[in-house]
Amino acid sequence: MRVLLAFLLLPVTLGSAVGQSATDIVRRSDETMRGKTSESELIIRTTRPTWSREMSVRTWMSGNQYAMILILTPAKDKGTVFLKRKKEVWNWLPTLERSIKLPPSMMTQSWMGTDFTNDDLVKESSIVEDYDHRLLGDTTVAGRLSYVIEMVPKPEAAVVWGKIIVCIDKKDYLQLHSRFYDDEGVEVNVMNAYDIKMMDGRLIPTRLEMIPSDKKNQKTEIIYTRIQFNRPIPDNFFTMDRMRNLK
Amino acid sequence: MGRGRIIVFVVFLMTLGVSGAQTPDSAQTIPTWEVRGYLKDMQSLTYGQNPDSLVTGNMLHNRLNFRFNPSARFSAAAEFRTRLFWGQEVQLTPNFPEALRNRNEAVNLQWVWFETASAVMHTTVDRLWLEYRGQRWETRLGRQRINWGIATLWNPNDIFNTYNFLDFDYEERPGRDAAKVIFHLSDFSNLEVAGAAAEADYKSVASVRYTTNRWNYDFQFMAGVYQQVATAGFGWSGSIGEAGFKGEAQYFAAHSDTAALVNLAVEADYMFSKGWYVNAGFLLNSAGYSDPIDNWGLYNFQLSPRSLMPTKYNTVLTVGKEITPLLSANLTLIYSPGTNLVIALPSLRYNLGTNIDVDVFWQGFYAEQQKKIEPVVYRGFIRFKWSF
Repeated sequence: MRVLLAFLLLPVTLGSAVGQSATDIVRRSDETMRGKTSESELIIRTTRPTWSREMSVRTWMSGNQYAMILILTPAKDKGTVFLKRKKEVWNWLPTLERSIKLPPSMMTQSWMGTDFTNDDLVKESSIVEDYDHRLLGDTTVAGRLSYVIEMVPKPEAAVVWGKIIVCIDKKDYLQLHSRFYDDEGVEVNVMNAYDIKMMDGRLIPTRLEMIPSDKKNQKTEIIYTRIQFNRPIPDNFFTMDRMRNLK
Repeated sequence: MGRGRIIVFVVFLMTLGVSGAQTPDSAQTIPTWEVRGYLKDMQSLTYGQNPDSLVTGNMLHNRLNFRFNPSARFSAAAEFRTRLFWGQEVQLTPNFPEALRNRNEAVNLQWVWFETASAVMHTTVDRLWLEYRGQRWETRLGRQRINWGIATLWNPNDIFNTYNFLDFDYEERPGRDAAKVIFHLSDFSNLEVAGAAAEADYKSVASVRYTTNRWNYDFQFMAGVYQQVATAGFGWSGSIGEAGFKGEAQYFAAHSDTAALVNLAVEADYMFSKGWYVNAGFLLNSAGYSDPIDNWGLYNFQLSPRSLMPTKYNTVLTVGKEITPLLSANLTLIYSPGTNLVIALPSLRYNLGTNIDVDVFWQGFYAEQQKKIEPVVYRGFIRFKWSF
C-alpha cells in the first residue's frame, strides 16, 4: 500500500513552460499522474538475487486523503483490502471476515517486503507542498531532455527523506529518474521510470522500478496495466462497508 | 441439511454462473461465481514431561470456498472443511470424530466419510449463507461467522462464536447458525442485530451492536442475551501516538446458578523498523482462577465467551520479525500470574513458492504444580499449504 501511494505521490505531468520556477515544474509533474482521483490495476514485482514474487492489485485513490487497495493475486491474499481514510488505516481479511485497524507506526515501514517506504500514506506528504525546490541544471534521461531538481523538505514537514533529486522531462513533465537521500545525505534508493505509454489520454511511464542503493541486485517494480484519472469517486466509497463488499 | 442436499446446492452453484471474471466494482459482470481454497498437510507431535509419552498425528486438510453472486444485491456462500486424520492421535483418542464437532451449531452439517481404528475422514460445512445488500441495510441468513472481536488474541465481544487461539490451523474460525441484519445509519456508523440458534434453545445468543467512528477511534457498544444471561459490552480501536490501542469489555449479569462476571482485554501494538512488530496485552476474567491449579488439562481449554482463559489475570506479548520477505518469525508468550501458567508459542513461516507456504509451530505449556513451574505438555507442528 505504501508502495502504491509513494508512487502516486511522485510521478508525471503535461504542460509547457517557459521561465517557470522549479516549484512550478514539480507541481505540473505532480498534478497529472495523480489527478483528483484515480482507479488503477497494477502489478508489484519484487526481485531478489535468488527469487522473485508478483502481486496484482486494484486501487482507488481520491486526493491524499482516501485510498482503497484490493489484492487480486496471489491466491492466498486475494480479497484482502487496505482502506485509508485521512489518518486511519484498516485491513480487511476475507478469511477471517473481519477488519483490523493498523497502528500508525505500521505505515512508516516497508510493505510486504518491497523496497518502498510508506511515509506518504499516513503523513499525507506532498512533493509540492512539503519540499523546497531548486533547479540544479539540465540532463538527458533515456534520450529525453530533462530538468534536474533538488527537493529538500521544509523544516516542519514530516517526511521520510532528507533530500530528493528528481529528473523531470522538459516535454511531457515525466519524472524519469529520482534519487532519495536520508537525513545524513546518504543515497538510499534510486527510482527509474520506463515504458512510457498513453493511458486514459495521458502519457505516463507505466513501469517504475525502485532499487535500494546498498543492494543493487534487488528491486521492486510497479507495472500499471490500467489506470483512469479523474472519474468521480464519492468519499463514501472509502468506508468499511464498501471495504467488506469490494470485488 | 443432509449431504445430498448440500451436493445439490453446490452443483446448482456450479452450473448457474459465468466464470468468476474480475471486473471493476462499478461495472461487475453478473452473475459471477468463484471457487477458492487450499490443501494442507500437517504433521504433529505431542509429549509431556516424559518423552516416552510422544504421540504423533497426521492430517490432510482441504478447504473449498464457493461464492455465488447472482446479482449485485445477492450473494451466497458454501464452505467445506474436509480433514483426513490418521496415526497415533486417532488411535489413542476415544471417539475421535466426536471431538471434531462444533458444539455451537444448531444444525448438524458435518459427516464422517469413514472411521477406522487409526483413520478418520471428516467434512464440516462451516459457512452456508445467503446475503442481501440493500442501499441502507443488509442481511445474512444461514451458517456464518459473526465476528465482533476487535483485539488480536482475546475477544470478549465475540459472544457468538468464541475460537480457541491455540487452534492456529483454523484460520476461518467456526460459524453459527444465525440471522444478522445491518442498518447503515451513516457512512461510518451501523446498527447490527444478530441472533444465533443452538441445539438447545437455552444456548441461543442474540445481541444488538452499534458501531461508530469518532476522534480517529472505532467504537462499538452491544447488549443482548447470551444463553439466557443478560450481557453488555463495548470495544474500541484507535491509537496513542504511533502505537495502536484496542480493547474490549463484556459484562455478563448474574443468573440462577452463575455470578456476574466481566472480561476485559486491552492491547497496544507497534511496528518498528526493519520488520519488527510488538503487541502487548492483558485479559482480565473476573471469574477466573487466581491460585495455582494442579492437574491442568492444558491444551484442551474449554473456552467460551464467558471464559476466554481459565485464569483471572493474563498477559500476552507477541514479537514478530520479517527476516526476509519470504521468511518471518513470531513468538507469543502468555503468562498468567496467580496460577503461574506460561504458554510459549513460537512459529516460523516460509514462502516456498507463490502459492506454497511452509509453517513450523511450537506450543509449550508450563504451570505451577507442587510449588514449581514445570512443563506440562509440548506440541510441535509442521504444515505445508497450497492455496488456490
